[in-house]
Amino acid sequence: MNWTAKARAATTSAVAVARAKPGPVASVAPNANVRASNGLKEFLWLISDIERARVLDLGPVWQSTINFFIERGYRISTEDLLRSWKDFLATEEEHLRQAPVGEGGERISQTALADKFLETALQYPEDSYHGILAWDLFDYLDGELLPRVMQRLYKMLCAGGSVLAQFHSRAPERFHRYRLVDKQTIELLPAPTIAVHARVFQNREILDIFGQFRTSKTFVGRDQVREALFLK
Amino acid sequence: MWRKPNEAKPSSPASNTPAPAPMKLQETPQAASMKSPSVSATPVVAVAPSTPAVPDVPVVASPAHVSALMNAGPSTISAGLKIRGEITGTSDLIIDGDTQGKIRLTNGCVTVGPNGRVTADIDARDIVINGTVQGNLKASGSVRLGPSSHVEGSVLTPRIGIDDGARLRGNVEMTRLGETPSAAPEPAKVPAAVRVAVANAREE
Repeated sequence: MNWTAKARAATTSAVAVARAKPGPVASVAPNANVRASNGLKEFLWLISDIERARVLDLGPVWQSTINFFIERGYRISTEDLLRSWKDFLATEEEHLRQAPVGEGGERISQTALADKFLETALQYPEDSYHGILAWDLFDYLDGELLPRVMQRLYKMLCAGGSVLAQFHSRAPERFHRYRLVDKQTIELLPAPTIAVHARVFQNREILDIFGQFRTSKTFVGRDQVREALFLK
Repeated sequence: MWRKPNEAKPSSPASNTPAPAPMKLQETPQAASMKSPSVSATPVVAVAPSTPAVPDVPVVASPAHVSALMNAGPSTISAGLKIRGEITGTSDLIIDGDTQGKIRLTNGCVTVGPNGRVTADIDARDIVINGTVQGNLKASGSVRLGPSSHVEGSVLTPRIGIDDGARLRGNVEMTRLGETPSAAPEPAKVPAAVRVAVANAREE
């Protein structure tokens, strides 16, 4: 699938869309922290033709996100990869602490940790998903884990499948988790920091990370968050 | 003149009996929370019941009594208990201990408490999770994932409720209400070694 091959509905105008859906203000609490997401809109459009499309959400599980996909007939899976990574590191640290002196005390490399983590995380067959919501996950993964995760995600995606990711243009002031409000709106939920923001990616670096993917599209929001949509 | 006249004391049944030994009542959390911080804690003494003590006589329960007791409420696997094997039946079950195996209560409700750790597939009418579960959840009624829940497995149900803070690693699939869920759908977990073997075979 690619953007040029898939025809868009000609009747869809901005006014029609605005009338059709209640909009973020009507569907969430007035003080909710929401942002319009063109990347999400595009992501949903790409999977809209697939019957019972399979979507993987790499953030925490939320009722609203689950409902959103279930109501549209999609199959949704969730795996909070960042929290799993944090739990894994905590467990490894505890093992090291409890190990007898001189046994297992050698410094474990980041590469070994990344490989060990992926022995249990993201365990799905190849071509399992039509879409993956990665949110801002890649901003928080270290240099050894990131390429391995990308490799795994690429294998899990069906041909024509897409990944939606967000990249901060500067280090975020606080840690957020994300959930869907409607097909064009994402809610940002402030959360206790479970991982430190690793780095700010340049556009060139983002393209390099997704080097295996066929095509890409980038959207820049008012908050300077870049949304990148990549197709396998 | 200074002699205090004998006043009639309020009669109490306890006054005629020998003074009971003081007995401390266990303080409930509710009672503790109701206490004002400025008030000093005083020992609470329970008054002995006025009725004479009943002699210890063995009680023989009638079959009807036993039956009523058995139907009184859900069965409970308390914290500290470990069970391995298959649990089947029709009554409700509360798990606050450690359970491994298989749980199948097609007409019952399975509740995993905050201390509960279950390594088993759960098949029930309703499932409420507040603890940790490694296994697939299949419900013909509903599944509720509480704020402290941590589930690793698929969820197959007509209705699902997810509280903020719940953790789910697996897929969610909806069935029709009352429909007996079929086997858990993919994606099945494939060991890394198998995947590598398959990839190698493809390359060859």
